[in-house]
Amino acid sequence: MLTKIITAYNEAVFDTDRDQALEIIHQAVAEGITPEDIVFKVVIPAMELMIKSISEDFDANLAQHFMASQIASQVTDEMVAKFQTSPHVVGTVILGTSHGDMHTLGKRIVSGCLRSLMIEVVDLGVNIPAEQFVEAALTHNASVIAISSMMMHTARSELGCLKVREILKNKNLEDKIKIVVGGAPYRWDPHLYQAVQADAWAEDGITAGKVIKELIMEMQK
Amino acid sequence: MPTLVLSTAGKTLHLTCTAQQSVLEALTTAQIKISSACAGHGFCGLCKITLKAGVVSQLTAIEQDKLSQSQIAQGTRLACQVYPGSDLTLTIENTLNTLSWKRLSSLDKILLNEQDSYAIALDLGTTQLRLSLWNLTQQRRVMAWLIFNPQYQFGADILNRLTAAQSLDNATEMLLLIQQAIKKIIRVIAKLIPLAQLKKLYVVGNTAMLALLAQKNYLSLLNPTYWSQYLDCTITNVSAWQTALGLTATTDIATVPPLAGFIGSDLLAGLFSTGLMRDTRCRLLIDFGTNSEMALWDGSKLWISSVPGGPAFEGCGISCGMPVGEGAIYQIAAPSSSNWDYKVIGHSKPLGLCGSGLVDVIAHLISTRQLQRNGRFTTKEAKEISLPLSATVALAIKKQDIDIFQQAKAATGAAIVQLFKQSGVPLAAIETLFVCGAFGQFLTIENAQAIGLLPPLAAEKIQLYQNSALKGCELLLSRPQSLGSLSEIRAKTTLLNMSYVLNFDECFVENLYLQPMQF
Ligand code: B12
Ligand code: FES
Repeated sequence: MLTKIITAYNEAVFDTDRDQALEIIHQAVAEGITPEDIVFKVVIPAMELMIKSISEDFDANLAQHFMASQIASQVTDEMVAKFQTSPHVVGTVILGTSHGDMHTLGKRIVSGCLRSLMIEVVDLGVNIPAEQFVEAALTHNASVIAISSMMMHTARSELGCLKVREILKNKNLEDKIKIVVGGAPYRWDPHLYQAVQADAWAEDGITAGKVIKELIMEMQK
Repeated sequence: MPTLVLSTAGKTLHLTCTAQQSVLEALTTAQIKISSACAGHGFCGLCKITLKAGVVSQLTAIEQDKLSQSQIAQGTRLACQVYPGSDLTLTIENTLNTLSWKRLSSLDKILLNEQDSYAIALDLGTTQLRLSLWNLTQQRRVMAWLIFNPQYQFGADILNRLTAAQSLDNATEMLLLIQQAIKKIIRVIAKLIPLAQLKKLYVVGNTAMLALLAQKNYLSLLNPTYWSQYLDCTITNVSAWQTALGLTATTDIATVPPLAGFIGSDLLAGLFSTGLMRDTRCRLLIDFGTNSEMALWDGSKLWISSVPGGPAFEGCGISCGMPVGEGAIYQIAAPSSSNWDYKVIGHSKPLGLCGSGLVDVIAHLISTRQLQRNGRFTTKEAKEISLPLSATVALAIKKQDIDIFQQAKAATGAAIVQLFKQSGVPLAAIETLFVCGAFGQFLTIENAQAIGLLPPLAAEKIQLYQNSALKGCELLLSRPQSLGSLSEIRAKTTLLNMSYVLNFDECFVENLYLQPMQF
């Protein structure tokens, strides 16, 4: 029965049909599938399938990305609340839009993708000063700071990623906390992440999930 | 050093290029006109060349992303990505032949004489400059011209230009480029009227363009705190300007102040010329451009917003795209036979699609079910769809082109929907919708409505309105007292910054879908 649910759910996600996807999940719960199975056997594999199809054929369709991540995070949130024991989280990420930047959409997709991969996300919001990123990382014991910038000048700004790097350096935190960046300007110039001294970048939310998960795993080793 | 052999405009040129220089750098150093709107970063896709002979660096991932398979097969490359490995023979696909002034409206000789007073109106747009010679005494236009904004090489959108202007050299260069362009046309005007009779030169434009022109405050625009405030863009060194333009001391030179933040005086001028606020009936104005502005008059208050309409509407970032100009396909429809019915600007062969052509193509692909409303091709494996225009010419639309267009459309569409929501004006109350901007002038209304770029209003309520800012600037020259009513307009205006509008992002996602706008 699970295979049938998986196929139907994948199809709904691929067609960006949120109502259909949610209905399939609710139906499955009603039929006795555990919330754990839904997250680990349906939602996460679907996300990974998307990662695979995107990395094989690098086409990014925004409507699809957005819906896929929104559906996945909505289902995950709903199911996690019903888990018998609290789930094992992979790690914690601090997420926000850089100083001077109010674009929220890219960040929301990234957040959805991360949460559906069982990574805890602390979303600070938009227009976040560098100091706040680092403070939050320390408070929440996070190993990654993820900064979204949608404009060239906010990506390059001395008050943005560069400043976060400077603070990490001064506080000797560079081994404990990594910086990941993303957003439109990084897609225009694939070397930009190095120029702003980030550790990694990702082209879209789904790849962001993969990159950040790998980074966390590596640091835990 | 490798030699580049270039055939352009019927001439053959020889120039040298170092191995460290991209072909784009070599061409711009030699002052060869080639389209480029991203300073060689590789995201505008406009700097296309076709290689005829020679060895070059390999195709980059950027080129694979920006060029269609047929373009790649033909030897098309992006000049900014190509480094020469030997002598090369090449042609330029998108030459910037619009770097000289073109006629926008013809000369009205009756308005020429020695006694009348004259003035110049200038609409300083991010993409184009529109300028007219105005007879102040008779309050009529003598002639108008159009030129591509020569600052384009610093980036297609205002933020790229402002970012470039962080270097003082660039900022000065951008000012000089505009002054040189105006000076060229003033030489033409000097043959029509005595320059001593030229009393005024007024400039309208968006805030960033005006601030760069006045060489003040432009860097504040990189900081969002200033986006809803009034910014001083007055030209203070008028005599230096008069000298630079070759004008006499009788010509007053001034910028018309912007309304606030990103809402420039070009929109303001458009409000005057369309008569948007002339009585208590509701009207909507949409000015499509790199930044799209929209103004909704509810009978007593004005609701304004500005969103990144996206250079996508001007062909930027689209594989087969180009700005409105010579060779651009601006309207396209599939007739029953296999060939397409298309209209090209000027007399040249079709070179690419400008924004309105792209709207037609997308609407066609949707109606023939080759494209789904979420932006995916119906044939899931297809990476591009080829459109045979004729036996010899074909265009290809890539998935990425649709994606970029969808985002620009969604930002504009969502802002229109929000403007109605926030003001509480029902769609049915709109008496007239004025569609302005270079992109707007050729739009096929049904197609734009079918994919959700324009609201679903009856066709007779929609007016494609050209040169709204230039016409408004002329009105201001004749009735400078209207400038006094500026503060009145400001008092009636509510600026809606979509960054602060709750649920804008949901609305944006809804508007990504290629379907009629939902209210
Ligand atoms: C929607 C939009 C807006 C909306 C934002 C609504 C909102 N709540 O977010 C509104 C209308 C408010 C807006 C305002 C402005 N915008 Co805007 N906007 C856009 C637009 C059309 C789409 C951006 C978007 O959200 N895309 C959808 C997301 C999901 O895609 P994405 O951003 O690429 O994100 C993906 C990846 O990049 C990645 N990712 C994103 N973040 C991160 C973070 C990490 C850590 C990782 C790993 C990955 C990652 O994953 C995401 C999902 O796959 C773009 C054009 C474009 N094509 O990008 C312009 C654009 C970004 N805007 C631009 C501009 C100029 C502005 C304004 C200045 C315009 C104005 N006149 O006011 C203001 C600035 C406001 C501010 N202070 O931030 C320019 C920037 C130009 C430049 N040279 O830098 C753009 C590029 C348009 C253009 N070419 O002119 N904008
Ligand atoms: S200049 Fe080459 S892609 Fe923009």
